[in-house]
Amino acid sequence: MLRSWSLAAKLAVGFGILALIVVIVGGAAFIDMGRMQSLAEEQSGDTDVADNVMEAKFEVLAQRLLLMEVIQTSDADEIERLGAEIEESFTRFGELMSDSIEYLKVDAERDETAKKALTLVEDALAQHEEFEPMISRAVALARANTGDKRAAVAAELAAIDAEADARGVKITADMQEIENNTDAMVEVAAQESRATAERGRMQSIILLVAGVFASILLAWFITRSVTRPINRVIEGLTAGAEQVSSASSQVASASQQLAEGASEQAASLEETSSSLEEMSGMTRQNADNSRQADAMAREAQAAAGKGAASVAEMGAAINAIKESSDATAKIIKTIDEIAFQTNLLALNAAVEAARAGDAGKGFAVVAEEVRALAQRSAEAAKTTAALIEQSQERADRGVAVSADVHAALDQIASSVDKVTQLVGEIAAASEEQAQGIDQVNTAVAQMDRVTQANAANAEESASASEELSAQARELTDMVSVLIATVRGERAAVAQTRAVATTTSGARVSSQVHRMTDAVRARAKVTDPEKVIPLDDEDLADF
Amino acid sequence: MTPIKKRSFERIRDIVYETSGIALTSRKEALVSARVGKRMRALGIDDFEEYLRYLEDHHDEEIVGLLDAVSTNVTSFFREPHHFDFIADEMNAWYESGQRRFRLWSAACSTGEEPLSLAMVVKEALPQPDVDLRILATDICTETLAHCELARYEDRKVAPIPADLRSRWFTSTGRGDERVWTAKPALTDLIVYRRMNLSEPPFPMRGPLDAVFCRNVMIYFDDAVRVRLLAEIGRLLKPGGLLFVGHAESLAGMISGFKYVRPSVYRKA
Repeated sequence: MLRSWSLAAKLAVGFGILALIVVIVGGAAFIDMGRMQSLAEEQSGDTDVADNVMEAKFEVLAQRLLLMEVIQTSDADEIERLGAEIEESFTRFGELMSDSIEYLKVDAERDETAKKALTLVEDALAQHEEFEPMISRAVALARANTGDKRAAVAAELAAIDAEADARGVKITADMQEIENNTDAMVEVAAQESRATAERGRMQSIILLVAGVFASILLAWFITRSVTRPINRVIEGLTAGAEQVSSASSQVASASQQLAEGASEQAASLEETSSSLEEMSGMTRQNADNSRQADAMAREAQAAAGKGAASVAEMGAAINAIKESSDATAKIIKTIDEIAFQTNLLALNAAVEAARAGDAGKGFAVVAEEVRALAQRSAEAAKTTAALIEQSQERADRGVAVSADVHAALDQIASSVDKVTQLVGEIAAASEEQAQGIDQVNTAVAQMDRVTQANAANAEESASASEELSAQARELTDMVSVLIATVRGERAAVAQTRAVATTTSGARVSSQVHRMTDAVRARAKVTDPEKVIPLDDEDLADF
Repeated sequence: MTPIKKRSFERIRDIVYETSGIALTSRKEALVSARVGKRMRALGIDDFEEYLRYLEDHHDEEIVGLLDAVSTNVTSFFREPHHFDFIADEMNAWYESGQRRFRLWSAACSTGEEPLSLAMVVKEALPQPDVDLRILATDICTETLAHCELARYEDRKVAPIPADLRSRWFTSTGRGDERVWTAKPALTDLIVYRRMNLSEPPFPMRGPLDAVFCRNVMIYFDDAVRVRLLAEIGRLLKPGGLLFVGHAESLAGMISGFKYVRPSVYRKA
């Protein structure tokens, strides 16, 4: 049931009970004090009665003495003075006795001794009531018979004196008994008072011990009922803080690694992407070049076809030349024959000129000249014939060569055809390749985007988990404050140490991490001069 | 974070091109958004417009941060191993012919794997004490250069290094996944790291250089920047010196003064 109470309720109830205990202890003491006070009052009352009775007894004694003086003197003034004194004494006695009666009447209701004393006092008072007139009568008598008249009443006075004396002795004795009785009452009251004080002390000791015991029990119980759940909470919090601390440091280190991995991957992918763009450019250039080669090969093919046609034409031309040479050869033969005939005719003319003698001398010279010309013609014709023969041979060779060239050109044309085909294929392939690379590039760019975003996210989650880790540490600190509050400073220190060891055990951050941290710290210094001094003698070595 | 506006993207693209020669096509919007976004997170800026204003106000400091963010850093030990075989053979031949001083340049060294691979290969090929070898390693990204200076690599990064070379030139600490490898001073002492913007020739070197590794860099540049860069590399290389480029990169159409040797390898005429 207590468990369901709030801390305030427990404390209120606890302190309420304590207050109650204080009230009981204090109340008991208060009651005892009251009783002691009434006992003391009673005792003092009793003492007052005793004193009164004693004084009253002295008054009676005084009255007897005064009576004696009255009897012995005969001076009227003296008797007057003594009579006044006696009256005063009577009044005092009456007052003392009535005081005592008043007091004893109250006491008598509950006290047997007081009752007895009351009876005695009343009795004494009654006796005094009888005693008093005797004295008064004696005084009156003495006052009436002063001087010489005294002797007349001396006997009467002596009789009154004797009676009063006897009565006074009796009263005095009774009064003495009352005094003894009241002394006994005082003693009783004192005893009662002591007993009450003793009882009160015992009661106070018992109540105090019980109160202290109850307080200790209560304090222990409340402390226990408060600290037990708090200790449970502390244990839970400590375990939680440890777990959160260790988990968050693990998360921090994991996301740090993730972030490093992601940015490494991102860098790698960025290089791949840039390389691919470069390759894409190269492939496009290849495609362009092969397209140009294709066009040129096509031109070459056309040129080869044209060449073949030209060679064919050339062959025809050479054949025509050869035919012309043949015709020329025939003509040369005719010329040779004409030269031979002319030579013969020149010989005949020379013979005829010789026959004619001197007259024919001139003719002979002409004939000789004609003969020389004919010989020269024959030689020229022979040379020309040889040349023509050569031409014919060359023309023949030309025809053969042009046939070869034709064949070669045909082959070139067919090769170029093939080349064109191949280059066309290359161009197409390059085009396809370029497109393929473009696609790959697009995909890589996409991957690049995602990876970069991942890297950025990983960085962010790394810093977030570092934040988390810091908060977990703060939580641990707060738990140790709580521990210090509940269990004391020393326990808190021990606990913090324990948490520190468990979290350091879970911490994965390695030397490498510290290293990268160091690198990062240095990178914050963005002045390159501070990282690497730029001008020094080392560079002069290169 | 608010998504990037086309106008902001174009402004960033222009700034990046003007300052680094890196040509970002319209396809790279996501890349710019992610990478510049990361930079903005580091600065606590939420909006690209605001970042551009910040960049304007702090141009000299922040331009480096922007280029750090935008530049792509992909590399690995012994990437394209045949390039390294080739340079080793060439170096041997040069040594035979009496050359002792060798100067190599890794133009875009990223996190330092390339110059370290080069250093290992050349030291293995020419262990002679009279060899005077220096390697210049440059990059535009200060962040990766800081990594270079540390010369520390995770276990998985050093996997491409042959085991014997790895044990000879690296020391390792830690176990399992935590294992970290650090290049020995014998290796790192050969290398000089510098920040260099390849789009802004002339470069402060005098030359002559024996070989230039400029691999997978020109893919980020346009032709105008490439021509300038190649002319400058041509100036720095010795006659017969080698230029290594990436496999997707072609010098076709712009190789004046270079002779094709084999795919992605050129020699200065």
